[in-house]
Amino acid sequence: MSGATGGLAAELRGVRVRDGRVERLHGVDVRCPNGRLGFLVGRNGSGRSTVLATLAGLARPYQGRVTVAGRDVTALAAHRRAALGVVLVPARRAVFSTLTVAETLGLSGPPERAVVRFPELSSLFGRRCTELSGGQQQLVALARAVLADPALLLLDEPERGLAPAVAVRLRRLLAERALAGRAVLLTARTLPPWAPDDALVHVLERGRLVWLGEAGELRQG
Amino acid sequence: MADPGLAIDFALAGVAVGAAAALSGVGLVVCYQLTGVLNLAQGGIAVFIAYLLRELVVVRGWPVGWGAVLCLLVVAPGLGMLLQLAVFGPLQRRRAAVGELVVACVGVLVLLIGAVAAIWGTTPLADVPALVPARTVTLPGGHLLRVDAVAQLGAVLVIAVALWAVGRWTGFGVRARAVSADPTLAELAGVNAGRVAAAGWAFGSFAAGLVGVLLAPLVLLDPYGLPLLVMETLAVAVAARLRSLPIAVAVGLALGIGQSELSWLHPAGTLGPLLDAVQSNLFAVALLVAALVPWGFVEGFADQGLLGGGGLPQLGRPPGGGRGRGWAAVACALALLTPLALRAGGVRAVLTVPALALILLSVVLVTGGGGLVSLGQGAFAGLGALAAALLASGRIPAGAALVVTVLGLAAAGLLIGRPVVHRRGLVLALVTFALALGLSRFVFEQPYATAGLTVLRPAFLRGDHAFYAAELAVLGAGALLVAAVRRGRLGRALVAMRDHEAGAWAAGVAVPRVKLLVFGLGASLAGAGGVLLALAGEAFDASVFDPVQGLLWFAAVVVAGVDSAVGAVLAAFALVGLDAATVPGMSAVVVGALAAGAGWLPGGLAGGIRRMVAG
Repeated sequence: MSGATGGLAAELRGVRVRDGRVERLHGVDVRCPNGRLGFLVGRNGSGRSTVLATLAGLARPYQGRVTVAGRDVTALAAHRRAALGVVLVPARRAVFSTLTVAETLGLSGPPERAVVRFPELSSLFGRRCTELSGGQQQLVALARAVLADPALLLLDEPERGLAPAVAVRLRRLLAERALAGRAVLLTARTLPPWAPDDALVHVLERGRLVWLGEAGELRQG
Repeated sequence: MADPGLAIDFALAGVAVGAAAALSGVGLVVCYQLTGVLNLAQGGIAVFIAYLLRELVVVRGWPVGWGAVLCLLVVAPGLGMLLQLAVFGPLQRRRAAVGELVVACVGVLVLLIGAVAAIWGTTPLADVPALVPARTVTLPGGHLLRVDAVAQLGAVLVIAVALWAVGRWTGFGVRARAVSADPTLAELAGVNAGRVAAAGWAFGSFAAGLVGVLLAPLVLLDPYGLPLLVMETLAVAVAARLRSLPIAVAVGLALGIGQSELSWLHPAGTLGPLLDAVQSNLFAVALLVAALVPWGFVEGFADQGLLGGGGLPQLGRPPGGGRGRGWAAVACALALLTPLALRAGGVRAVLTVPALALILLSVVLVTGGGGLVSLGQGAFAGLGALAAALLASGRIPAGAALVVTVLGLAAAGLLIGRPVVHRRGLVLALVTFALALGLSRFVFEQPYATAGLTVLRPAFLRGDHAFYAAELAVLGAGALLVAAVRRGRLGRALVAMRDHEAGAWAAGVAVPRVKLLVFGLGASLAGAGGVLLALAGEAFDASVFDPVQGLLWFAAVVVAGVDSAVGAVLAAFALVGLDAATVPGMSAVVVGALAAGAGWLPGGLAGGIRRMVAG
């Protein structure tokens, strides 16, 4: 992975995040190693989405540090982090209502390249994103993110609304990205059965990190 | 009878105003799409640029072309980018609510008008340079065509087509449309939404400046008239639902030409003055109609994105404890009571403070309590003042006039509240501003409604001390009413509605009924304040209830603290006291500066003071 330091694509260290007067994260550490899948596991309200938002630059911690490839980016805006290769796909409504599918994909690269991975998109190029079903919108959002070839891909519940066959392809794609040395961090309520044993799992509870280890360890104990 | 030839002549005469209105609409639409802010400061930018061009060309002798290049292509876009950097960027970064953005716009508007008045004075000027010389050519059939009007129309069409092409065919256009659809998602896709917003402000300011330069030769140039004229062209952007450029161009031209055609009709009898009023205020009528027609999809859009929620959550509950609030209330009560110990002249100077505080208290109830951004409270006050004047002229005792007016205003509030109960956020702000504009133009400023009015205080309130004490009693009753409302069941429903309207519906709150009730109560308070204001000056003055004055009042109470009666009293003292202690207009400049700086001072002045007191 180009530019990475110590094998980490990104890291949160002792991060505290407030939303108004409510503290959402109480000093959380998260690591996103290159070449591995990462999972943020926890119930609703555990702080999974806030961790992703903090990594992507949508939420700014009042304490702690955010680093990307060893560089302190705590004060860096979201679009600058996207330029550094940190791309987030939020859980819902992750497409632009006024753009066509081709224009949306074009924000990240030549739209035709996305067809290699997701051939079903080719027939949708001229349609506005809001005219698509929920699953198709999710597919467009994921395809745009992958097209950007990010160093760190952040996915908030990525399989929501996807057809089972497409979800299987997505898992394969994420595994390939990890093999290629890229980092991927996903959120889930529980650890999915398809998660590889060497995936790094962060278990969150009420805004705190309560367990960190490999998926294999979690399954054993 | 109708003469087709004459109709064509009138249509051609209306093209110049129509083109300027269309350009104004295009500027507002583009600025809103790229920034999420409805540029209510457009009139201020327009008048500033128009004065600057006159200064360069008439006073300093520059050629019109060079002056126009500097004003329209350098100063105006630069001013726009400065606004994004210093005023709206900070607000957008903390996802400010609609009310805060409205207040910031009003602040910029007031500041620019104040700057123009301070630099160039308030005397109307006729020697304004025109971008294109006013020449006419004769068409077949003998119709006269103004070359400058055709040039303006051509410029508007070229600008509109160029904007459409940029949005459709260029990378910047796609990125700008992405920001327009969802700025947060656009940032995640690597688009610099702040830069796009700066471009939006640059274009919006350029368009505003061009509108000012085009309209200035058609009217006398003065710091107050031109901004109002430009603000009336809001109708064009509202009719275009803040998104469609072709509709903006078509409506602008139609209104300009329609206004010219109407000047052709002069019916005799009672309809005459009314039609004259419609003709000269066609844009105000159009704004009222366009704002009241259901917004459908756009309304939902307007309540999301950069516009934030419906009300003023940041301003409603600034951080800080109740300790500061208690001290502030005591200080306000003392300040209000002190004039009773002064000589007659001292009381006279502050006679309007309790009346104004009562009007501002209605903003505390409606906006601070219910989260409803109503820009029409000044108009309710005007209705109150007018009703009191009419009743007093009809020899009804002033005490009875007050009671009748307050009850009548409550009914008027319920009536006017009907069309707004299903609206919120920016749309509600626009509807209430349109209502205020309509009332001002068709009632307060018309001789058929206000000629021959006499307002006299009853004998027992003839003395200033007695009247001031009576004002304090009414203000105290109003403050108690607001406190009781906010503490009771209705208050809890208001908080629920302000924080999450859909959630309030789901929790069983009858949202339309609560909105109507709060509008009715707010109208009563404002009306009572209007009655007192008229009695304090013993006259009905339409200019006091001008819609721009209403905007200034709204901004003042938001800056002072919209969450309690203390804010209303503080704002009233500031509005009256600053002008009395310095020069007229100083309060507007101070309120404008504080309002424009809202992005740097969350919670306004009151929030800042409370944070200091709370340590």
